[in-house]
Amino acid sequence: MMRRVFLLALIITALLFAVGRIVLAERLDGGYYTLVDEDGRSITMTARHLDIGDAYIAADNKRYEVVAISGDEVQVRYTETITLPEVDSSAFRTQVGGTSPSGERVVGIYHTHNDESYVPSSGTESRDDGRGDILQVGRALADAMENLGFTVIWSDNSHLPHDGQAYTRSRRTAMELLEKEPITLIDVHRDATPPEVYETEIEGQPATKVRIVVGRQNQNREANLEYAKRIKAVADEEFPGIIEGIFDARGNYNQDLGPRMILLEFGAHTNYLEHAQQAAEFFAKVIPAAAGIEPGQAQAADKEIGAPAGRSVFWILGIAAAVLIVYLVINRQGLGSITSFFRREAGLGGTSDDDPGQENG
Amino acid sequence: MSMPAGMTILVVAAALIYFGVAQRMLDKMRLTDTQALLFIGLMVAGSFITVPILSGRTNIGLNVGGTLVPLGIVIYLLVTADSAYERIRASIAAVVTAAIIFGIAQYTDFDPSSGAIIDPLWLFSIVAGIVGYLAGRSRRAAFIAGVLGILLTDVVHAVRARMANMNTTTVLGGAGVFDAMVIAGIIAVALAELVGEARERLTGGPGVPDGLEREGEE
Repeated sequence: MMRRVFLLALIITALLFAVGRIVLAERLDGGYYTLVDEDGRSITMTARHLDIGDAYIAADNKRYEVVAISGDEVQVRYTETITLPEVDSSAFRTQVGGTSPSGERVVGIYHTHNDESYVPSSGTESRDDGRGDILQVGRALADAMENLGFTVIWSDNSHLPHDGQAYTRSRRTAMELLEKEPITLIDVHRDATPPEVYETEIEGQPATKVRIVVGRQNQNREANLEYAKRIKAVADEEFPGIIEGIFDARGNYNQDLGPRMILLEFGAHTNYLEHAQQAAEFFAKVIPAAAGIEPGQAQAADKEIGAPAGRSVFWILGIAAAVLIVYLVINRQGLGSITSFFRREAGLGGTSDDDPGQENG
Repeated sequence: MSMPAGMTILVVAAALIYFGVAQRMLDKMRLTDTQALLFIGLMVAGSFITVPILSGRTNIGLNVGGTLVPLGIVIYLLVTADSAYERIRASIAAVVTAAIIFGIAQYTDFDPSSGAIIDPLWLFSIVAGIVGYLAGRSRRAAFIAGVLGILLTDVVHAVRARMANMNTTTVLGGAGVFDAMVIAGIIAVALAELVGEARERLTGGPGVPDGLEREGEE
């Protein structure tokens, strides 16, 4: 009994230590990290704590991997220049001209962190009443897409407080929206960096840049990363400079619920709400072409996003098979039992050394 | 979502594996194949039913598939437990899990900028698995810790939100069969199963015939 209590205490200590590391990792001091490549060039800045192995696709499509972290400086190594998918922008122009999309294609928008606000516009970075500025950015995106003729379901569900269970709560909102069968589901956020990281001017208008975040810890990562690249391809073509980059980040962000689930960060708390809204209006024209909602785009989008999805199936099945084999070896003492397991599962009869739960199977 | 073949296959394969694992794990807790399938069927069907409990500024609801069905399994497991001691241990595991999850949730928001190492969905499930297994050295305790751990933190959140008249929406088990509550239960059992079996195999085991239930043993 004492041993167990000791073990439990050990685990809890380890967990708290891990969480402590997470807390320490947050830049609450107003500071930020600078990503520096092998030649000492500054790639970008971020308040996000990075870990070795994290990947970042910069605005110029160069992909970097974090190799070392020292103080405020994050050493990154250039790995490759990625090629973005070619997205035909003629359809984009038709759609911008006001042509209605064919069929009823739905877009879902929600906010996991509905308290997020922009300090220069409203004097606070977070609103306790859950009516953060970020809702207005989501609303601007929804309105602009509706004006283009799309059906948008925008949820202003509040997932307060802004704590570690916000994603668990917003998962339920995401599921609710998924019942309406949207072609894409967008979780609209803002970042927490110095203003210059996101400040830009698009078509002569001040706007924030947009950072795309893909969660690595789920089976849809490849499909969602491909979708992110399509978004960047369309945006680079039509609104050069609007994309800050793509984070291939740790986490899941409820993207396990389906392909074409994406997290977008419109500026940071240090930028103006109005500029983020402007970016959202531009983005309303990017999403349909990237997601394949508009005429002439569906087939290409399906093919491009579908291919990595298909590849993911193989590794999912591979992992499942590996886990099953390890489990069987551990559980049934030896490789011979695997044969009997599969024979029994296939209904060919087998040994009866299995767990009692199988008796009715 | 309307999807091309690759994506459809991906979604179907992931769902099949998920339900397959879920069925196996329920199976491991002295539920028969039929009972396990029945429970999964009920969870899927119940996912479409959400009962509102409170509305207004603080919205609280309850999803049948994501809350009542897993809760039913927990009650079934507690009722059929070998001893009062086991019931107490499983309940304590649930409270400890809830406390740890609540503690972690206060520390970080798991935002992309937080630098969190692992998504809360997986982290909370792993916590439940470790605590449940350590507290009860059993798959059933792990399941109970996983399901009740998430449920208790949700209930605490709902009560606090209501008392503070907070503008928030909480649907207990709202993502149905894909809710954190169900996933935590399943991952917890899987973890207890893999760790427990591996440990017993490595240490020569407690001498119980292969495949028999080992719940409640030291």
